[in-house]
Amino acid sequence: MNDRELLQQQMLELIYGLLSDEESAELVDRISSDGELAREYAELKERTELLAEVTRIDQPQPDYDKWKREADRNDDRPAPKGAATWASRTLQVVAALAACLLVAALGYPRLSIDTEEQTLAMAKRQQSLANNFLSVSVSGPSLMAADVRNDFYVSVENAADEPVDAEVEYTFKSPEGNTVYYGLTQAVNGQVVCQIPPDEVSSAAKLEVVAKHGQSKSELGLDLAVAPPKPIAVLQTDREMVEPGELLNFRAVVLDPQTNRDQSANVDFVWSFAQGGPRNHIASAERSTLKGVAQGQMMLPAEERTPIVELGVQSPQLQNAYQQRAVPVVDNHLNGDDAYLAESQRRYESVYSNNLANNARAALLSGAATLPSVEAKPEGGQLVAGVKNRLRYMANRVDADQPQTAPQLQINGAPEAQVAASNKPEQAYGYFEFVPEAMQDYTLEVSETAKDSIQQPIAQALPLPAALQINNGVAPADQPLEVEVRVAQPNTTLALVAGDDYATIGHNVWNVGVNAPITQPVQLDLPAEATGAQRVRLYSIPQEDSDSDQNPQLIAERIIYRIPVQRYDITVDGLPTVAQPGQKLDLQVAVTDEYDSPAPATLGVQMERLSDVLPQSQQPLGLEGELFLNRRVQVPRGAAGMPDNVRDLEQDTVWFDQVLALSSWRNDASQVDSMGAMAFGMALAADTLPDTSVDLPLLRRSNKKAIASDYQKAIAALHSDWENQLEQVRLTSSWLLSIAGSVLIVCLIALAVLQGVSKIKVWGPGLLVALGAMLWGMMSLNLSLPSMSTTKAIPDMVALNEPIAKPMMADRHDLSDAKATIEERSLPDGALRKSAPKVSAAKLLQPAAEFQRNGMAIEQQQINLKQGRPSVDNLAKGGFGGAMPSAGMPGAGMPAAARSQAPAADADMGGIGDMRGMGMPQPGRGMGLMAQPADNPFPKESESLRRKLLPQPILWLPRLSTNSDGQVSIPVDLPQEPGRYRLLIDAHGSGRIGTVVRYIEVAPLAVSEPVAPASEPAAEESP
Amino acid sequence: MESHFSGLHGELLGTLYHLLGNMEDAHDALQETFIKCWRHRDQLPEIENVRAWIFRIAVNTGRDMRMTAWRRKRQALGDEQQAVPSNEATPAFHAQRSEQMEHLRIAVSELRDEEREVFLLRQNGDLTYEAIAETLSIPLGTVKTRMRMALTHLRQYLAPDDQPRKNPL
Repeated sequence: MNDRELLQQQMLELIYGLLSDEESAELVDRISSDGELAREYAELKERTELLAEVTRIDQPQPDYDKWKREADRNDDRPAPKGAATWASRTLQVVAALAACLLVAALGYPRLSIDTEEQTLAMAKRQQSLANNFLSVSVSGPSLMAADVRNDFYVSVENAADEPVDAEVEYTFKSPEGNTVYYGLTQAVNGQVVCQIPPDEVSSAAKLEVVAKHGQSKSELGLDLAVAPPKPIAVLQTDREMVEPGELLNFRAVVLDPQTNRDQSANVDFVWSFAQGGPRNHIASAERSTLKGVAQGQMMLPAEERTPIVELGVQSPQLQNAYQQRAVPVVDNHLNGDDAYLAESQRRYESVYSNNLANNARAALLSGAATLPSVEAKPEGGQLVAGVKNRLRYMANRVDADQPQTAPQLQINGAPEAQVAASNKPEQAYGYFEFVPEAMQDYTLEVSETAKDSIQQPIAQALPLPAALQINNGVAPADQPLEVEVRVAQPNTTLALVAGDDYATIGHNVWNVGVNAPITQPVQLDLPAEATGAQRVRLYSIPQEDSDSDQNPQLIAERIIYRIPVQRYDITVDGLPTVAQPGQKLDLQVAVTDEYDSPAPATLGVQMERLSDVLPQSQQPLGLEGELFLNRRVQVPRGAAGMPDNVRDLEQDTVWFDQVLALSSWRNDASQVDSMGAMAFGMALAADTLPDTSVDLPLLRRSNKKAIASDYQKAIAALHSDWENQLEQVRLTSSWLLSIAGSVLIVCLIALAVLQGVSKIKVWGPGLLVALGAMLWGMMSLNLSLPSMSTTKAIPDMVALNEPIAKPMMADRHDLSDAKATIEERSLPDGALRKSAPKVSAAKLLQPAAEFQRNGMAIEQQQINLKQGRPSVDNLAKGGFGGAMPSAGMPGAGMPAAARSQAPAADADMGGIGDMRGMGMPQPGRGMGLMAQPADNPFPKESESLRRKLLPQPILWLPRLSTNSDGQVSIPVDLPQEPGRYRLLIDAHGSGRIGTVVRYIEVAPLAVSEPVAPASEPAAEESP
Repeated sequence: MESHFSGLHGELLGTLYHLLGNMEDAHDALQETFIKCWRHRDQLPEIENVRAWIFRIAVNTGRDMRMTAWRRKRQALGDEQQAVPSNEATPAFHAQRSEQMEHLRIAVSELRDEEREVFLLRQNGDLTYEAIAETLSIPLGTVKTRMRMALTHLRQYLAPDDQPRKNPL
């Protein structure tokens, strides 16, 4: 654009008022001053006027009235158009709202559901829910020991198997539902011990445990079974061997085996000549106990030639319903000293064989082994592969005169075995510790200097869960039992049970965990009242929550000895070690308790002259020996040589512990072996593992499964609730999508009708989106409709707050059903079945007559209860020979040769002389009434031999009471017969017993000693 | 209302004619404009600038008709030439003047629609640029720019020419 054109442009802008006032003024001045420019401006002005004419069209005015009329006439025309606008606007608004709804429906699920957050919240709710479900597990004795403290272990866990330190309330109730004992305690680490004191045990029939933690509560009730007080009888005689025609005095002391208190019982004394033979009642004997003692006497028929007489006491009130004691009988019909002596020794040996000292037996038996004998046994009974085992041994020397030549022992197959050894003059004993391999044979080799070696095979190591080792097998009863369990297999549940065959006095049940091999120390706090020998058994039991049919398995057993804390000490004054024949003694016996305070007691006094030729009994004597050890423990043969006083044995704890480790439990056939003890005992004797499972002497109850089931239901309800919420959101979203899409479609279609195709860019995409949204909503709605019916049903299964109340309701209102359920659930556990009241009652109350009618039971009963020690071989034998524990002994049983010789010897037998001069008990001093012995129809040629052979009783006081100070005076007239005399005094009462054994040598004055051979006939001549 | 339309009849018809391109649509639009104004005559006392109001309705009506009648071909202005009455009496003057007017008519028709709207509102409506901006709902600067553009285009036909201009037709 040139200057002229620019100037023309400015002039046009001036004409049309586009320039500002200043520009206009400047341009006007310029135009005014320039004539050419003024002319051009005028011409431009003229043309713009022409342009105004061009843009304005002058035509005649229209008929406005007509337009007005037309407007008025078509006044309704704008109305439809206004309605369309209103409809359009309305449709637009509705469509906008529908679109907003559509957007909201699309965003609603995403905004309302945060999956990650919901997952975390769900985990928290599950954890919180687990704390609302408490499970209670109780373990205790299946048969509570009466009159001692009983412990029940309670563990409280939540549904996540975590221990909960809940408040535990437990109530022992009587059968009538009355509270017997109540306790409230706080669980520590989820564990608590519920104890019932001794005085309340017999009244308890139920245990109810309530665990509370916060708002959570769990209850568990279980039925209890109490072992009724069943005393045992200890049968004692005034002599070890009896002669036909002699009067045999006896007494039975009836005591409670747990508390040692004397018991009242009706008893019946019987005797027989052969096992299984007819029993003859002894009518003259007392029929009931007085101060725990019943006594009597019997005259052995003079013509009887039986080798043994069996004396028995029976009563259904006794735990051992029939207690017998075998007494060997001297055969007076034999002719000749040698035959008489040999037969007498044989008969004595047949009864007391296991009680003889080793050297004594060797001296007795001609042709005995010249090699050392050895007893070896793994602690617990079995070698367990993979963990350190302790193999205990006891080797007897042949040549006891050379104690310095200790036998050499080693285990073949275990090169690095360690030996802990101790030596006695006649024995070497100790243990090896080594880790055996599975199914590997091991042999214990013993060799003595200049002797051939012997080898003792050991059972193969088995893949068992654990091995047992007891650290204080001989300890005072008030000390806890310390046990080391060497775990070989992880994830095992073990049960350690202590008790006798009758009742359980302590237990512990635990899961060993996942680490193995490992040594786990276990401590059993046993009641102090339970004393003497007890058996400790280790079981492998199925997991509490497992569904397997696995039964408890007995994997180890060991005998321990609990030294009584409460006991009597008996002091005897006035008894010299050496006395002269015919000397009068005045024994002052004083009884004191453990506090050294005088205590009144009931005494049993026996004094006899010991045989010069028969071996002496080598086992603890008296009440203590019988009650604490002999009745329960089968000591190994190699342990012969035990002191005759159990208190001496208690002093040598190491050796005593060794003996117990090598011993086996003496099975009491008077009871049904409900705990599988007999099977295991037999298996131990045969050195094989019992392949049959046993019943557990424990009661285990838990509501864990029921609680876990409720917890799972609650979790399912929780998930269902969450799913329902999600489904509800999805459903709502689907409905919104469908509705909003439909509305939008309708609105947009209507708008399309109103606005025409020209607005397709507006309503077209919206229509497509709405159509898609509606189809999406309809499809998801259709998909979710079938699932609504299923998800709706789930919340009806269980309510969230139900688990807390449900167990309580079940226990309170339907306790019997709950118990039945629990018992049914626990069917694989044999112990649980045992604990059913009916079964327990049936077993406990089964009368002794039932056992007696059972032939096998009677056989075992008689074998086990007699004085002599039974052997496994005897159990297999029947008849009289089987009753004689003489396995392995030459001349066991009744040899046919001896029987055939008997008639021949009758003619040669002479009279045995008058027995009144043999220091018989004197009537009128509280002694047992002794009938006058009949004249001996079988006189012997040598009275001196008879005197040397037979132990002769000189004092028998079966029931002697002390004064209130625990003192009593016993005058004794020593007989003229020189020899060694033994005084045995037993005391019982107030839950304590005591035994003292004293010896006195009766010999003429020392001046006569040089002519001792010549004085012997003189002594025989003296009356 | 009728007096307002009577006074603005030529300007309104010319504006609508140049907006729509044919006289028939211009008449229809004018009638439509009158009807709209008549129906809103009750608002008249409240309107300050009645002239601007009427032109705004007219322009909007013209726009609507231009959109809805998009299918109609714009007829040649020559067809309407005889319909445009002339006030000139002498034949020579008439011929010269007609030629100039024809050139200007062509020049206006060559304006772009938005420039033509602004120019016609200024030219025929005699609206201030502020009123035009308010009527068209566009900024004032845009109005002036469009006006300058329109003047630049029209200057080629309005300015005294030294050499004969080529007739675009």
